Amino acid sequence: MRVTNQMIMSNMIKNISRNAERLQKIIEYTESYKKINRPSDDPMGMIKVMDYRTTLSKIEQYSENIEQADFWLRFNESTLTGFYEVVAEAKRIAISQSSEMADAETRSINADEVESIIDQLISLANSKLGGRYIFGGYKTDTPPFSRDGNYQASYHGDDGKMNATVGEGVSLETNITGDEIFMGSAGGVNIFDVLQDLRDGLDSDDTNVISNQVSLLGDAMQQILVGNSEIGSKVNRLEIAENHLNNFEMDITNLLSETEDADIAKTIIELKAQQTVYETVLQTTAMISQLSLINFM
Amino acid sequence: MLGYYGALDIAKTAIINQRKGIEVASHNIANVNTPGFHRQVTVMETAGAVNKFNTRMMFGTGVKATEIRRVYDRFVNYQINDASELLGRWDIKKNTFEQIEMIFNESPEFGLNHLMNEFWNGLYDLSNNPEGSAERTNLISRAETMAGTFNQMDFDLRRLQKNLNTTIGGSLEEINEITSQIAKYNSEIAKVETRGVNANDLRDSRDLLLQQLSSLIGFNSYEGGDGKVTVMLGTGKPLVEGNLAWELRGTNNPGNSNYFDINWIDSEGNLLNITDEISGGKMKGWIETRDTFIPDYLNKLDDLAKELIEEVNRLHSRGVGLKGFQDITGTFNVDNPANNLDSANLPFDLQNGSFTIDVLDANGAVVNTYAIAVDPANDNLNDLVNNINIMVGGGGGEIVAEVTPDGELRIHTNGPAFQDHSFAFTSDTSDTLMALGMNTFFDVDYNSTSGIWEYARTMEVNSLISDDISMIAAASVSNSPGDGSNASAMAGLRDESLMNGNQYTFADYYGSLVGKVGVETWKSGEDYSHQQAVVDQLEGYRESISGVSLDEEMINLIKFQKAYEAAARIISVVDEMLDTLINLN
Repeated sequence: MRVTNQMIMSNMIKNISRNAERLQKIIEYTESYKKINRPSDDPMGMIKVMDYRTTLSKIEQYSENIEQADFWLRFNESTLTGFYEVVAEAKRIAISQSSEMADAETRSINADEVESIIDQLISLANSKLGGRYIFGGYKTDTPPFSRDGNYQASYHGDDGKMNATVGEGVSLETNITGDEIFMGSAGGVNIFDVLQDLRDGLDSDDTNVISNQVSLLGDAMQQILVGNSEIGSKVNRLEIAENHLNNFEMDITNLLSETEDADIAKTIIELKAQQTVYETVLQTTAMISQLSLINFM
Repeated sequence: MLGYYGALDIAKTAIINQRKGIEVASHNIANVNTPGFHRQVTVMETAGAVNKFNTRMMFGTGVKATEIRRVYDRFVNYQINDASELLGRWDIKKNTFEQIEMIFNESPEFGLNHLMNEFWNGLYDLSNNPEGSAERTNLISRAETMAGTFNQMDFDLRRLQKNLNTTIGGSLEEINEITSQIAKYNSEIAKVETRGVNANDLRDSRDLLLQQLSSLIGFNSYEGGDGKVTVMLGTGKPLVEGNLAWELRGTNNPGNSNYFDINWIDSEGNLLNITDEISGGKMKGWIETRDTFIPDYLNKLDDLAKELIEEVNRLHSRGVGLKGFQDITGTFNVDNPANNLDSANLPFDLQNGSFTIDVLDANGAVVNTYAIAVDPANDNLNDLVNNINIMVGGGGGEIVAEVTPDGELRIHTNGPAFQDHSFAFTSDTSDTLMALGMNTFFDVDYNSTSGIWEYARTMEVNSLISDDISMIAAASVSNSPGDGSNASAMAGLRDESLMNGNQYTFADYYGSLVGKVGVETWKSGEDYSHQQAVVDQLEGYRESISGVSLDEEMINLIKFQKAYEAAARIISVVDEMLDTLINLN
């Protein structure tokens, strides 16, 4: 085959630029630490990367939702614990004042005590977290409980249930409404009515009424305990979900890294090798381009 | 005596013709780097022999150079032109896809995929704390960033399209310039060659122009007996015929964003649209990327934006903010309030169903609930307004509906008597609220020039909620500040398969779109590289036949130089012989 000067020259240029291109590609890997720097580098890989990132973003959000729900539920739990102790106090009063040892005078003093207990419980039932009333259902902006001059408590919230999304298609109720847990609207004891009856019984020195409230207050305490254990089991479920998400997150992060990250050790070795090749090409080019018959004439 | 002069004459032909050889070699050396140059060779023959001295011997009379011929393989040149045609087309496709790819590049973590994720997460944050103004503000800014990215991607694709169009306009001029030059060379070559001479350099120039033209546009060419080349488009319309060139001209096509159509002008000056007939070259590349590939991505992006807006708006329009409305006007207008709602050119479709309006008193308590039935096939906007007003109490109720002069639905509280009232929408099975832009999350605009709703291009957060973040409808029930169920329902849209006939989630659809861009970019790069290799191969082949080798020309120079020297020596030898003869005493 006839070989002409232009053929030699254009081959040199092609070889140099092809090697420069390869070198450039490897340099890009080492700079970005990624082997997928644009969709065409690996279209299927790019789709996977986006999918993994979306999954990670969901996991992150579910974790955030869990954290919020956990915070909210634990606050509910501690408020109910406080409520339980105050009700227990009322029960102690009912027991002591229903005995023969009590008289009209002690009962009248204890009636005042029960009034302050009712106020204390209303204030607990009006607990706020982050500016939101926790026992008012969706009516988080107004105090859900109040009482009249007769210590008759009333509920102003609704039966709104809040749900936290803790996984794809998985949600968990995070609130207990005040009328349900304190007023027994879904079946149970109306704790505030019991206390009002206790107060009236003490005021009117009616032993029967007082002793009737003892067992009712026991039921009330049981009601709070059941509510609290429900919350506890939800907190447990959240922990399990959280653990699952953490494991899942680790798996996906590994998959993501395997798909898009460049193997640095391998890349650096490739970089060295490609550098050597490139230098060799430049050297041979310099040598070949000297060759001409003219030099020998 | 004759023999002496015969030798001198022979020496003379040798000197003259070897010098021609040196000239041709010099010309080759001088043009070693000239694009399109074919090396030339001096064709030498023996000059005619003569019978001298009445002998039976034929004596040669020296050498003559009959022609200077360029070394040219017509077939390989045709092949190169064909291959350049395809190379030009792939070149444009590759370049354009590399730019499309940049628009859809999700490798850095700030692409649309990321922003959609951020948007859904923002909705979950809101559902965790529906009263929170920080969550509301954050959601608006995430939604604005996402919508802005849809706008930007749409804009970038259209800009690419516009740049391609500008290039098409400029290239038409280039093509016209080349064809008129080819026509000029045709006439010059014919003129020179009628004298029986080879117009080598003119032909080189014309061949180079033909190759340039082939990378621009697909054509067939053949050379006539007169040395004139005819250039024809694939469909038989000539670009060059003899000494004449036909002009191509771009005209704006209003049906295609005013982009250029390509017209061939016939001898009577009529314009014939040949846009679809162009078969190859960069022109084909520009046209197919401008009219096929980019619109395909624009449509897919628009589909995604449309579905996303529709689904989010559908849920949002049925939801309730932290307070009710006193006066709301829909963002989407009907083309005519007398047209039935299913044919009133709205951005989204309605269905047969009903929606509910809760009327709230000054304390936020629901005092009345009205269910409005809508049958889009039989009701127009005027009917809808009448139905609402009749339902609410013949115009004497708490709220009044009306049609704005622009053809939008407006509902407001009725006069001073009810100015402390407000209202909210709590359910809608008819999609009326969504389609009319009542209480929606996103807004889009109508393009009256092209007569279509542009989703990706104009998507923005409805000013209803960006101006007053308390209007973001996180709740499903009126007067329920703690209710985040609508926000979490909207966030849950990310997991639903809503795209492409309910096959893909938004993220999957966008992922497959990016994957498609990746595959097509990769493929167009491969096509280009492959075709470049073909052209390189052919050009190498042509170069091997027609290219100038300096080494070879140096040898030629020596060859001719030595022959020249030898011929000169003949003269001096004859001179010496004559000298000897004359000096014979």
